[in-house]
Amino acid sequence: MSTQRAKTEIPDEQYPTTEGSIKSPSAATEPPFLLWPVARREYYLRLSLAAAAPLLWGFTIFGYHGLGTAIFFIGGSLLTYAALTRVRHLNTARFKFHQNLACTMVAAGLLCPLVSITWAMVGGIATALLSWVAALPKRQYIQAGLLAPLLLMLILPLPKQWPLLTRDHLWFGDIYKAQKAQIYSWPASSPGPGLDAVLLNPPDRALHILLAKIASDPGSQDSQEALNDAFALDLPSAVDQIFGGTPGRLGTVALWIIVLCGLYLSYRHILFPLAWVLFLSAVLVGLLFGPLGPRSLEYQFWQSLGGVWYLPPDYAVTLLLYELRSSDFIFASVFVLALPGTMPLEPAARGIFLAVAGIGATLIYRLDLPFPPATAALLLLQPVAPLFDMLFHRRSWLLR
Amino acid sequence: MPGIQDNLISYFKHRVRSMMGGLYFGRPCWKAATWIFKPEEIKTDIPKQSALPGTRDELIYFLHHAGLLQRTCATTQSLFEQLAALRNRKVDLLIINLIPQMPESILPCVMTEFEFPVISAAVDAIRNGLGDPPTVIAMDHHDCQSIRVWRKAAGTQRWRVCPMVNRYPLAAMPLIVRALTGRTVSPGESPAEHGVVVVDPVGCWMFGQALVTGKASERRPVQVFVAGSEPRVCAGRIGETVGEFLHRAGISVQSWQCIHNGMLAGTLVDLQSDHIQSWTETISLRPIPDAEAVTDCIRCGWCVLLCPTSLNPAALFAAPEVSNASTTALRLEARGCIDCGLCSYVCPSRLPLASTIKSIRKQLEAEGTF
Repeated sequence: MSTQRAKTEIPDEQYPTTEGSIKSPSAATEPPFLLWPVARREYYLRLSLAAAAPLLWGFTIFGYHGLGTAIFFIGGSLLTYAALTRVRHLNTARFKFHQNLACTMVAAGLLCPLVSITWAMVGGIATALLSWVAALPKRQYIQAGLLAPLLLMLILPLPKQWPLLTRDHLWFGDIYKAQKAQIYSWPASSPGPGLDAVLLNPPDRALHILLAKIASDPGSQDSQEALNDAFALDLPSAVDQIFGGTPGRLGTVALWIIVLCGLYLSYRHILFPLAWVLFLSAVLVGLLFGPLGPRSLEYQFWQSLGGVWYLPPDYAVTLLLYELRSSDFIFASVFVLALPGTMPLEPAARGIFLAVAGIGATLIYRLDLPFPPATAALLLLQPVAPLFDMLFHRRSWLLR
Repeated sequence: MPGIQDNLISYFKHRVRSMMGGLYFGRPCWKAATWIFKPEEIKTDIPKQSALPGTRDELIYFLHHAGLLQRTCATTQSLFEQLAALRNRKVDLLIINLIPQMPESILPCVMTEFEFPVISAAVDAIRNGLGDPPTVIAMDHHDCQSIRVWRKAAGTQRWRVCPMVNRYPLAAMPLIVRALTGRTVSPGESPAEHGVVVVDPVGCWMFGQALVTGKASERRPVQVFVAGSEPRVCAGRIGETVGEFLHRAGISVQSWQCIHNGMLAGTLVDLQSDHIQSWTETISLRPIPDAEAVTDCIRCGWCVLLCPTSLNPAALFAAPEVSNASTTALRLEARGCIDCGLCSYVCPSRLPLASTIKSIRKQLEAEGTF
């Protein structure tokens, strides 16, 4: 019987019990005598492993600058963790290395490679500190560590155009052929400045330019032509978005690898596939019926309430697919949902929570707020997840 | 060169190993099982129809004389108790529950393979006594050989074979009744109060043996699972110590853990002081493993997702031991637990969820609120 498990490296005495209600260690002397092979440690380590894959792909897209940013971010977090656990009088029993690592890896994926190394270090330290604060006794377990990259984005508003790829060629094309694009100078680059990367609009920026054209005066002939041009020229291609040929945040640029990681986490029973589907369905509903953008709310309020419905059908479909691909909806639905503690426990509460989070994410996205929309919506809602559990509590069918 | 059968056997062995540590308990290792009754103990004389009980009172009389007053299954009441609860009510459905009671159980298929004539005769007798109610043979859909055997006999015996997708603990009485009839058997109720009678294969077999020999049955089949060897089914004498039983079965153990009735929801027993009971289905032996450290709940939600009766084990675990106004309603939900042990099994923090819920239930029983 395959029940032999390696000894846990930390003795039991270092783990204080949950609210004083744990009576004895399980598995050896009381039922169940078998345990699911995925313990808490494996849970977080597999999550870290999955998060490492899109980060690595990000390094191939953004080169050493992205790599440096991530290394300093993760290094800052790990150093802070080590410092915190060395202070004896602090209660660090609930603050585990693998938990901190998983949270930092996911947070690193949310970071833009443009963040300077100093700020990356500050972000890493903030991630570890926030995780520790949230893990203090008598607190509901929350993913506060992921708030660090969001705070960085708020403190350091990013420029309108982001660089894409170092060296003198693009991943999907030659840099010299990008005639219209402005050349970006990476610090300390070789063979010389100006040959390493181009500045391009990130996909969500391109989208908001397009939405602004739609909202300006949807009825006029000029607007119709502008719309045609925008759909034909402004948006990056689907292939670029799927394989990561667009500027963006480090871990979120390549769709295919995020989806693969989602399948891996589902296979390992860490991510609930139904939660993934529910959240993306809610996002789709939000995109279908939400306002088109902040400008549309300002100038064309009534049309904006119609959302994509007043666009020609082929444009509407193109727009919806583009939006699903272009932001961190997929990233958050895989990595933020996989982090334990994000969602309520009860099935009905989960459904409603995911619906609210999905629609909230589309609002953040369409209103052009300076956050990764899906991650921000989930993080903002997760402290009230127990409230959802309480409101939508399911009674056992045996007792009905 | 290994044949197809050998390959299948090795495949099933592999499946057993994976199911012991996996989340979904797939097809068990039926083919690897051996039935180690001595040949002279196998009865082939089947009682004639005239000897069968014709009424419910006669069936109760037969059961009484067969010594089948106690349950023969870990999760279902005995037939005698169900008949007592039935009173004058008509039986709407008779369920012969051949779904394994535990993920590692091989009893139903082994008994079908080796003792089908005795079991089918007993089923016939029970149906006669109950007034020929509609009968369902509930089986695991993976158990193709047993399904074939029961289907072949269905033409003459008028029962319906129902292969089901078995996800542990479907064989537990409230779950099988709900799955087949849609009726809810609340805690403390008997399925007979809802017009449903559930019989397990061991109960049928012991009844059949009593019909053949005319004596109260003193033995029951017990599955023995020893770590590192094939599962076996042995005849256990009710009342003998577990040590004696294992000695007769030729198993010598040295300071191993001995687990009674399943790895997920069983109990630890002592070889010398604990006895084989009428409801002893399995005895599992393994070296004592290292205990894993218990950590805090990380709200992963697996216990809630997998609870077969839709409880929230994490919330029940967090409920304080002392009842107060706000937690009384929550603690009362512990009545819905069927002790399957799945919540503790899947918990990555290794919290003793099932035993905590069990202690709440005991407390409720002591308070008289169960």
